[in-house]
Amino acid sequence: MIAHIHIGGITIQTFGVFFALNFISWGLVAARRLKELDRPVDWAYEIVIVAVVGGLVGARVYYLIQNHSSLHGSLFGNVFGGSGLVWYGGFLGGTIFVLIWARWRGFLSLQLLDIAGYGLALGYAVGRIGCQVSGDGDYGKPSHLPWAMGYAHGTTPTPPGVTVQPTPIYETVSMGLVALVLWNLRDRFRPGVIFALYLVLAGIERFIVEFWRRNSHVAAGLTAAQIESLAIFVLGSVALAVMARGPGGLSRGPRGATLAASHSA
Amino acid sequence: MGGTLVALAVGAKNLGTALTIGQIAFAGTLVALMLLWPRPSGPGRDES
Repeated sequence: MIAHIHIGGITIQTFGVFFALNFISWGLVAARRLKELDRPVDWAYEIVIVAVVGGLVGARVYYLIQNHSSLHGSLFGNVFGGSGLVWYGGFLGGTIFVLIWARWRGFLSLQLLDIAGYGLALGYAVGRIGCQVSGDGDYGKPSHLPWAMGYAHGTTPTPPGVTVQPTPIYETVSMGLVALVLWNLRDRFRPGVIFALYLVLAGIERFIVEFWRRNSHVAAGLTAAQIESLAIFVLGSVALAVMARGPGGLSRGPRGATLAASHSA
Repeated sequence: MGGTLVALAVGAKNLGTALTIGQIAFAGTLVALMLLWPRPSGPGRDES
């Protein structure tokens, strides 16, 4: 594992490198989609910048709320110093900031949600490489499978001689395939369906992977992430069911019919 | 898979390292496919 790299006297965390690549990948895909939709391509870069800022703020605030009892020193020092980011906080913060941006740009639409769908799946797949390379503790339970591996030099190292399930690799492959499938379906369904499919598939993926990860059970033999996964699976399924019952069902239909429907709405 | 096999063939230190290289190759291929693959023809394309 390579938790840090040193370039010209500067230490760079490998997790941070892939954290950045996750947003760059998403931005490139969003730019292509915006071009396809005859929207300004520059919006992709605005979305990424807003998402990064909102994500960092949300991840940090969530961390501070979760750990407020163990924090010491000044408020300024706690907010801007040290480490501590929580993915769900980042997701919430990024979402809120992007929604504010979309309202400002007049692009608060289901098309934006669809871009977020395959973007989040792709970003998750790329971001998990950072977990794998840095060995940050997102790996799985001890295992003797032929592909099990140790993270002895990770930021959260495994004990010497212990091999574990490399769950970040499972997650990159599974969510990468989800991103590819959703991307190839982007013109086949009415706006909103792709994002609902993302919720369903991301929920299934994380629910399954959690069985191999080390997170402790919080209720009914399930981890917190599994309960959250069930929630987003149900949310996506309900959204699909509602859209399927609407006029035209889930399919987008021919171009003329789609435009006519949107103008008459 | 291909990236992992190539990494093993060229002497990756262990299977874990090879798998990590394969993971990076997979993600790189994925991003390239999404950016370069021609847009599929479908009934709902919004422009000609």
